[in-house]
Amino acid sequence: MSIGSRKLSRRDFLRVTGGASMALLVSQSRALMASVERNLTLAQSGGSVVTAIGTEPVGLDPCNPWFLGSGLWGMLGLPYDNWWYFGRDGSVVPDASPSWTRPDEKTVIFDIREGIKYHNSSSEVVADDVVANYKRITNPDLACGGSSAYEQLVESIVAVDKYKFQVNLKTANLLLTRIPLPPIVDPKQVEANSGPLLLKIEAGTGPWILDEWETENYLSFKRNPDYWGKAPQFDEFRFQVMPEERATVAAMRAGQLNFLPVARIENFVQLQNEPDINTWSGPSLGYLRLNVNHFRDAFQNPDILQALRVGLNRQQFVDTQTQGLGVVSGPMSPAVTRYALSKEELDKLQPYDPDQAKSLLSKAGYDLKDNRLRLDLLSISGFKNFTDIAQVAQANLRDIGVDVEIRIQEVGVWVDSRVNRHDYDLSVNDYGTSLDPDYTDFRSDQSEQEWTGGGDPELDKLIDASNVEQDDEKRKELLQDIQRKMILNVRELYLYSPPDLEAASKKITGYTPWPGATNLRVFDQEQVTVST
Amino acid sequence: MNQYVVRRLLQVIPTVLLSTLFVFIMVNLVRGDAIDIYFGTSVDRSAAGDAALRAQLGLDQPLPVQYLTWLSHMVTGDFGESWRYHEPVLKLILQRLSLSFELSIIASLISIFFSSLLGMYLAIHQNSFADQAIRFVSLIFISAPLYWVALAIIVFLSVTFRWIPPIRYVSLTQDFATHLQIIAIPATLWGILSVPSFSRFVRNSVLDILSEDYVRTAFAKGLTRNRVLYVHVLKNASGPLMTVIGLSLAGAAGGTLLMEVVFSLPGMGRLWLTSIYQRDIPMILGISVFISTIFVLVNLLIDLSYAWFDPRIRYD
Repeated sequence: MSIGSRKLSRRDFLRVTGGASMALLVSQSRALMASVERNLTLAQSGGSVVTAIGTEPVGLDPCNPWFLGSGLWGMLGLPYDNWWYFGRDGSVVPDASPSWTRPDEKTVIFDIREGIKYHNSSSEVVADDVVANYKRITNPDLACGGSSAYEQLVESIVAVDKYKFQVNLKTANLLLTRIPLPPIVDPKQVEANSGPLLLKIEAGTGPWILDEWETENYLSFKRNPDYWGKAPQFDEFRFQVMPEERATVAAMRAGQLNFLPVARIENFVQLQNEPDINTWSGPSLGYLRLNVNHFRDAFQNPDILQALRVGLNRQQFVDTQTQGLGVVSGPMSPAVTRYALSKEELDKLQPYDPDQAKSLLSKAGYDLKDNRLRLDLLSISGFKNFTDIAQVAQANLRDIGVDVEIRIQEVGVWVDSRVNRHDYDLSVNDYGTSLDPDYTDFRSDQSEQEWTGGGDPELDKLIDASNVEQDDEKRKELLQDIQRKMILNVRELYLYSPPDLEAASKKITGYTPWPGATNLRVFDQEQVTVST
Repeated sequence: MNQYVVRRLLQVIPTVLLSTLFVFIMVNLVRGDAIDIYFGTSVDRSAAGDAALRAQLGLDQPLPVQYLTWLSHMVTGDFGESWRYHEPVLKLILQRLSLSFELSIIASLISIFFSSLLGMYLAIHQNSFADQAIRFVSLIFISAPLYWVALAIIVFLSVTFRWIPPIRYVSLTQDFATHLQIIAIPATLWGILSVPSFSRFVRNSVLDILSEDYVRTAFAKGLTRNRVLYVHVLKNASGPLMTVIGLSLAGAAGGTLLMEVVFSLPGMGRLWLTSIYQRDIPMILGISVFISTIFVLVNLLIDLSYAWFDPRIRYD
């Protein structure tokens, strides 16, 4: 699991807990038919989807920050509903909110679907709950994940009536997908569990209810029999805690796991050869990058930055790290086909040109012999792919006259080096984009800039404009300008997008990988069946 | 003897205090604290959030105050609450201890049994082809990293038999048969892999004993070969073996950790490792108390066993 993915997931979750548009209007007769169909489906359903996670979550509270060790890994989408979510084609699909209106440019009113009940409770989701959750998630003492987005974008959230809440924005015409909306958590449960986090319990409304949680052993969710939406067809969704991925591959072979997102390419290749297992490889929304510490003296010289931009053979990273299944990436995964720069343009913006790199370094006063540039490059112990990437970067840069010392640090030390001390030149890292990209993290006033420097007022303007631009063609231009600027200014060094690798037993039918990444919430569970 | 035992038992107290103090200092010397781990590079990290969590965990207090606070609670049996798991430390340790203990004990028994047999055989057949061959093979086993061998076995089982031990752990009392399936391979593997090194000690020790006068006397007075070997020789050769077993306990925490990671077992080793990664200080200190106590007690038992193996040893 990568840190970047977690970042993505948190953001995604917050957006997915955002509103949704589209008409609802399901007639009474259709509702009745759907109810009958659902009951029939439930009667025929059964089986378990059993998958593995390397680290178990701290708790199932949407407030948890999304970092290493929190291990939430998209799991929140099982017990908690979204206000809306991204469909397979990237469009916005209404979920707990069937519709919304914009009375003016700074106000959005969301409807709440009637009859949504909290797990293990007869309470219904109402607008006052949304306000309570807004207050909780913006409580500075809790430092909840996503709180900075509210601080930056939301003036207030108030109840309009029982099934309507109003979001008052600080920014006019903010795109729907930019609007942070509170998670749907039962406030009574929050109150009953006086701790700052809801630990080892959940208080959501989603299709799955937390059933059992044995620390460091497994978490098991059971199907919500009273779910208001499309009900899953299988009975149990279980997450075995298995720290060693090679053991998970063995467990797939032995039939003890039947679904597995795979991180390491060599493990995926093993599963590809199994007759009873289906495998999928597709583009992912994540990308690998090297953080550049713009506070360092060396990087005040633009020639050095430009030398690094053209001194990395990105195709070599793709070939060595993904066996060709990944793709070269800029600051947006090419999987976001609508907005990402084309491969041709990426090749022009970040070409592999060692001669130019040497020439730039020479201009900066360095040579290939006695006066070589020396940089350090952080990696994280236990993140083997990070260290592999560091080694390829080290070899590439050695050829242009840069001696790189790789410093592999335990994760807590790595955080300290980056966040508190700014003690690094480069650091391997990853990041996740979204089907609806947002570059707010890279604004000058965001914490990322506190750790790396390199904020750019011009870039801020483009980011702000992209967050409110309603014309999609113009927005695409803005997003692509942002990408060009980030590459050319060497905000970071962008490498490649790894493939999204999944495997499932052939006993699981009806599963189609979600475009961009494994997405447990929208697993199309109503179509997935498990033969027992 | 009793005085000796009481004196050794009392040594548990300073040992535990010093070990926890040492661990506490070491954990605090390492860069990055629980706050860094919790918030990491989250874009929502703020000074206010850092301060609130720091106060909640007591990390805003000076280090001596933190340690003494923990100590004052510990002596009353309150080991505190894990920062990571938000459950009582003692409860978590007791949950995990039985599994790790079981693994270690089964592995040790297997190891002692087979080491004794093999060591005795090699000593009796000193310099024979079998002795040379087995010692050569032993070297390969000694050189094999436990982690990789365990992984190789899992892969082999899954490829060849489409079977691996159940990944969903159940305790002995929940389901005995399944529990046995889960624990048999890791415990046996761990035990067997330590046989080559232990058997070498037994072999050398038995060779020394075989040249003693009392062994010749035993044969001379007409005792059977097996009686001489298994009653007189093996018992006297066991003293050095016990020393080795005692020393090997130092590696037991590491061994159980490796087995727990590969076989997905929720034992003490993983709990300890996760706690260190997460800078979960109450958990780390709690485990240190248990490990140092167990260490002192096991070594006491080993020391006492010397007197049983060799009645010439007196502790008075």
